[in-house]
Amino acid sequence: MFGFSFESWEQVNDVMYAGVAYEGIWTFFAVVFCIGIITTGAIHEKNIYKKYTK
Amino acid sequence: MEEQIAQLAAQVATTNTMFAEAYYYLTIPLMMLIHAGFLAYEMGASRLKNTLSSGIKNLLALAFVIITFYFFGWWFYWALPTGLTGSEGYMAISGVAYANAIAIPWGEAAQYMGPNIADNASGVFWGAFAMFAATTASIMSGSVIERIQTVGFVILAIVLGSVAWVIAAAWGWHADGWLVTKFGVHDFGAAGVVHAVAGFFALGILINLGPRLGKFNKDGTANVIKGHSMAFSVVGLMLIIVGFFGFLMACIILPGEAWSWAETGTTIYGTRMTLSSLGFNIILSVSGGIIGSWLFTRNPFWMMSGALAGIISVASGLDIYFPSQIIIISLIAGLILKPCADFLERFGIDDAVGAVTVHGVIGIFGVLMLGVVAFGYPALDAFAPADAPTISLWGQFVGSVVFILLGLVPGYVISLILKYAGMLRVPDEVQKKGLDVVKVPAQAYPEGMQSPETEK
Repeated sequence: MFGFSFESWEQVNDVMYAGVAYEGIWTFFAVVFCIGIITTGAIHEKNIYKKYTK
Repeated sequence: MEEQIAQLAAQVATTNTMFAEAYYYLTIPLMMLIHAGFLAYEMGASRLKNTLSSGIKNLLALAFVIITFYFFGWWFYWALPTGLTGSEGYMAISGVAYANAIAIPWGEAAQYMGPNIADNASGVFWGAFAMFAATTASIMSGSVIERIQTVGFVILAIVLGSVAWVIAAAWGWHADGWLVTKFGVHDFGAAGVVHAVAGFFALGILINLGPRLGKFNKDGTANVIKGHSMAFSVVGLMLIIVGFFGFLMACIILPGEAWSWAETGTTIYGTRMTLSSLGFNIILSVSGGIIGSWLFTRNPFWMMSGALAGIISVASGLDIYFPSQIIIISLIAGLILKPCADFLERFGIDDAVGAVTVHGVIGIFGVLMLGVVAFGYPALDAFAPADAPTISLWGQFVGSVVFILLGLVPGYVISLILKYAGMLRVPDEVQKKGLDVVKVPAQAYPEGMQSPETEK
């Protein structure tokens, strides 16, 4: 999941990114992070409007 | 001798590949200028008290659309050309199975969604498309300034940039798109699939969002709400124009590669064209739009909007129009721009930057004009089926209706849901005070310079 999954550059013929075979897990966490941030943003925005509309 | 020829051929192939990769790669920063432009345009059109919040909104649209386009937008483009069934089209480069094989960031398809020493194409094509996607959101962004909630806006931007326009592109901007294969729709520079969809999506939102406070009087007449920096907006518009050279450059499929469709440059439909066509036609359309809008407005904001309208009005046929046709069509676009914007205002629609008119109305005008001026061209070329249709006014009309609906309906429905969820409109008290002082921990201008409209 982390690091270089080949023993040398000679073995690299196509994909060459870190985390080969674990792309789905990385993508899942990226999606979760984004949803978390947008949710936090919504809560913050709601609270700040409440403060100014009292 | 044979070995030398083989070596030479390999060198030529490498050079071609690197050229194609660099060509598309350079369209990406050029298109980023569109966003620099929209950022300046939108911030300048905002009153001082809302300057930074407009900027934040614009930046978040860019960021969230690019990320969600990676997660699922790219998949929609390849999965849906033949319609919602997701079946494979004639060219065999579409359908759910094809999209699952090349356009999702997990499983086997992930090899095309990240660094791959054997793939010089996927990343640059994806990057260019992601910038097209972000452009749709930026178009919509300006029309809703000064009263839309940030997160509600981000959700709308994602729906527009990673779903709505992508479906339009799959249907009308793809060689397997059903609008192309059945109706011969031609929209080389995306007047319909990008501009019209985004413009009408914005209209759908504006119906639910309502106008800025003070925009309309009780008798229905409209007031002009002046932005704090006309100069900023006008320069922003010029940056958008610069960026569109990259946008339109990215609409060409280069020759000389395994994925190329012909020995010449082609459009996304495989029909033949040259980059040189754009050399004639883009700058003439900018000029036509500026001159046309000058007649009724004498206002640099509308003249630069006219420049943009000029490009959009001919974008569908930049590959095949004769330059004098470009001049006439873009002049007309510039002429009708302000009257169309005024007409919209009569219905109580507060489109702060004229995006519905510039992109929506002129986009549709452009799609239709191609059917009037350039009918009869084969809509497909390389590998096209024998019964492939030709460009026609009827086909362009059908495409226009679909593009309007693909913008208007989701824009209206999603914004209505957000309205009922309390996530659409900024409360009136906050609008009066100014969004920056409420939401932004920074000042647009040096201390001591405060908007006269900001309540203490």
